[in-house]
Amino acid sequence: MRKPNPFDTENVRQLANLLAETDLTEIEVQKGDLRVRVVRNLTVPVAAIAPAVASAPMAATAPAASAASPSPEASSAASRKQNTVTSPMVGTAYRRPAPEARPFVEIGSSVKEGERILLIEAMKTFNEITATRSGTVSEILVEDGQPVEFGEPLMVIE
Amino acid sequence: MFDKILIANRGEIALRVLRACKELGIATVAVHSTADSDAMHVRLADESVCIGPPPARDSYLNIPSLLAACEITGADAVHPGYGFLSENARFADILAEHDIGFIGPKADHIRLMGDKIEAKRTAKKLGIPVVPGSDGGVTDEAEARRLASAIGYPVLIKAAAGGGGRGMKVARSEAELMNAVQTAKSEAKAAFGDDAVYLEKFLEKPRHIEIQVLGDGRGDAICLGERDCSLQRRHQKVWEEGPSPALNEGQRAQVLDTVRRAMCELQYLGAGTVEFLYENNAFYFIEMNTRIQVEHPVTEMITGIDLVNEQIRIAAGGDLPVRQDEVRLMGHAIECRVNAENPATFRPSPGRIDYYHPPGGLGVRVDSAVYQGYSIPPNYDSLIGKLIVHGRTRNECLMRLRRALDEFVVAGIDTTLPLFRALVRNGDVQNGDYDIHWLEHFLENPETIEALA
Repeated sequence: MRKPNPFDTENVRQLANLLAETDLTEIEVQKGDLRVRVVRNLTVPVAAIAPAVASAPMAATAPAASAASPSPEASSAASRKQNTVTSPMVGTAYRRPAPEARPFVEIGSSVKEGERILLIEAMKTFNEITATRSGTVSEILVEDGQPVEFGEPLMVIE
Repeated sequence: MFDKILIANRGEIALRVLRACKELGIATVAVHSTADSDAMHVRLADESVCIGPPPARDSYLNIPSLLAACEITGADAVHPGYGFLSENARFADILAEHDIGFIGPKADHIRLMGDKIEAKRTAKKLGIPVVPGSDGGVTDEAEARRLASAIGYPVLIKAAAGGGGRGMKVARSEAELMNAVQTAKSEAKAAFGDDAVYLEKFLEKPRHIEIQVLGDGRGDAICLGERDCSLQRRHQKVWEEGPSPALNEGQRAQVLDTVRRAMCELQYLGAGTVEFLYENNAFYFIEMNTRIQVEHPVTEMITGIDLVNEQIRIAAGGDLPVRQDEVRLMGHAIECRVNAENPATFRPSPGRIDYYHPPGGLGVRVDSAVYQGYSIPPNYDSLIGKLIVHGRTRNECLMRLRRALDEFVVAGIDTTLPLFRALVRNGDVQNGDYDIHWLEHFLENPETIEALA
């Protein structure tokens, strides 16, 4: 007859699930000689990069990041999001004021807050997209004439 | 036929429209707010466009955004679903100006039926029996008193720009009349931007019976039977069934014929529903809905006709699917609208669906856009889905419904499934013996509240 394994993986799994379902970051259980401690990994970058995910105040699972201090990756991802200009509308993006003209900006261009960086056209009406902050254009995420949707990342200004 | 349809809606009806498009080989564009990026129909569509932030006003009701989405995707038609812009005549006009098809009725008919006073006048002219009432709007006190006396108390004061059960006040005597009129007017102004009100006889215990129509826009129309939607809570339909347990063959044939002639004369285009109150063997027109309705599957199950498919075909210039004498009503169907609400208090319960298992088997249909792991956004209505059951007889249908409800699992949020489990076991419901007030009385009963809590 096999001796029962004192190390019960099922118990550990249950403890881990408990952590995942609640706001707890650490659980320790002692049973006789056996002590099991399960800890939530706090250094995983937790910033969600998904653009404009709906805030869900009624969501059943609480965010795990509330106790975590941001890691370097997390903070750089979060700041990139803050520096990204997103589209406020649906339409076609143009990088230049007219077909023959030069683009408003290029990578490396220095811009001031409020300066025109793109045009988005819908129904024959052109809307100016302006820089949300002063800085340097580090990424251009759309091409001339590309259709864009609401919330689409257009440029990163650092 | 259209090449690409933009689905200007969300949730279960957007999925419904998507399914019809796919079956017709038409490309699909799903538009969505940021809150609906994970919606099932968005995942299944050929293309998707995010049109705005969560509030409906900035997304699903945002006409410029919808037009821009048509432009960048090259959609040549829009299906508006129900609610949102489906009965917005201006939207239909704007699409026409841009050469984009609108899958729905003619804009003039939307406008006509949207004004409840005009709708009633038109119904009367077309030979449809109406609720006795004022011939037009009521503004003057003496006129209101005179009319109410002529109609006979109790009377109902209704907003001309209202509809769907909103904007109505009852006056049981002359003493109550003026107060009720003033209140109705100011509420109508606030809710609909128009304080025009009209008077109608208040029916004490009517049933709500509605007729599904399809018109080809060229003078031909067919009626596809009726639906009994008397089980309502706060004017919201909860359980719908067809045929109505209250009608016999003769009554059915007569009202279907009356409605059909009216729709032919009107030259109605597309799908629509003519709604009646029915009391003491008489039908009284209340309003017409110029769109596909939530409860359309009930009619689909008993006629075998795909109504959304037909909407698309007809909008593209096609003919009606069958002649009136070819329409057959087979068996019985019941639909339950399952909401994410507490079954006793009806408090909304948005949140994540941890476990989802819908029922199956012969004659069981679930029209729902949720899935396991899906989070119901708090910004829109709380409909999880519709359970529609068909049987060869009403009894078979009820047994099947009972079985299907018991199998249906939605865990992680509150749902109104327990309410339906109670209804299907209730004697009055089993006998088809109810009117439009029945459900609210049932819900007020302390025994019911206890059983559902």
